[in-house]
Amino acid sequence: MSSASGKTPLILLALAALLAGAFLFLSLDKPQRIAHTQQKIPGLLWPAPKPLTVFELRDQNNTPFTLEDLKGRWSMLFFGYTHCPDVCPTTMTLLDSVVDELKSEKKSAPQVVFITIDPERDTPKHLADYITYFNPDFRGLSGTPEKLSILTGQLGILSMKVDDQKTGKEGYIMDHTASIFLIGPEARLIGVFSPPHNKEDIMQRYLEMRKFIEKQASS
Amino acid sequence: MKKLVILLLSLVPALLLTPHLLAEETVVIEKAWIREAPPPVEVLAAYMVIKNPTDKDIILTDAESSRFKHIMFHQSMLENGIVKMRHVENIVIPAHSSFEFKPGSFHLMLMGKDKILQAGDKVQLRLFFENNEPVEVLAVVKKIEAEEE
Ligand SMILES: [Cu+2]
Repeated sequence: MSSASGKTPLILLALAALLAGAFLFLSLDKPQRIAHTQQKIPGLLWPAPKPLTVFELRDQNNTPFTLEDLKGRWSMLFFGYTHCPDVCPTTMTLLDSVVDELKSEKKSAPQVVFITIDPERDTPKHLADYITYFNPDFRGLSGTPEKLSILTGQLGILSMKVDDQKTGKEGYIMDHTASIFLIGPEARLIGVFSPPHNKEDIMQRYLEMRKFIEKQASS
Repeated sequence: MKKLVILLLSLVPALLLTPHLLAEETVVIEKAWIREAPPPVEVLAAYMVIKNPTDKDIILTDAESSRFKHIMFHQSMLENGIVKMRHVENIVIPAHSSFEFKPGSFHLMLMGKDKILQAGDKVQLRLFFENNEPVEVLAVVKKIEAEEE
């Protein structure tokens, strides 16, 4: 007993040292590799863009919107809710001006898709006037919570109702992911633009990512 | 009589040197505006700058408007890529400084509008302060530009 307990700490110590070494190796190695491949364009998910899988939602005109609608074109996805008075409309206005400026520069603009994280209040009917206000070409998607989670789960979107008695039941607040997601024409997640958003920055990175992916495809 | 005149005259330079004592020694509200929102949206945000030229901290405690059911103070913030909005009880404007309500940060949350507001409309707001008279302010509804966020 005494000899066994005398040996145990030594073995544990050796094991701990081994684990620490392995951890150090991995933690040093990984960021360097990521930094190396991503250093060109921040937010670009290369070399492993994530292919999206099937989902089915409806837009503001009650037209189905599926994975197929993301194919053959570039898309920017933004998740929010219409009862958000501050950050969501700011982002929508920003996306409108991104599209506007790309078009005025004769560059191909992405389709912009707004996806509600508050289907309880954001019905297609409600979304119709909301989307049109910013840009009638934008698509505004809603669906049942289950159907929405099929898409939000793939992109790691977080959203939650805030328990705030003061703001009231009808005026409840939602916390939510504020990133803009760039989807390529093969329905893969190519890049993530983290907030706070800036028009010039998003335009520039979108064009760079696009150029980069198109170069990969042709080579 | 002569003494009184001299006394009054001696006060003149003092008054000239401290004009703010006469005119502006109170809360000043500037650039009050309301963000125009799509028609179905029930909650709007108002922004403004509140200046406190006094020697004491001023506390904004409440706001109201006949055009809305109620008004609250909110703060938008980013945490690990998640946007959050939180109710704030009071806004403290420290002595000799100012406080800005602006997009992506603090805003007055206007809830339950009486009718659709469009760019150009003006809305009367009343702000309540602790130990200070209420202040009326006229906020103009306008569209936000992408550069303003
Ligand atoms: Cu708010």
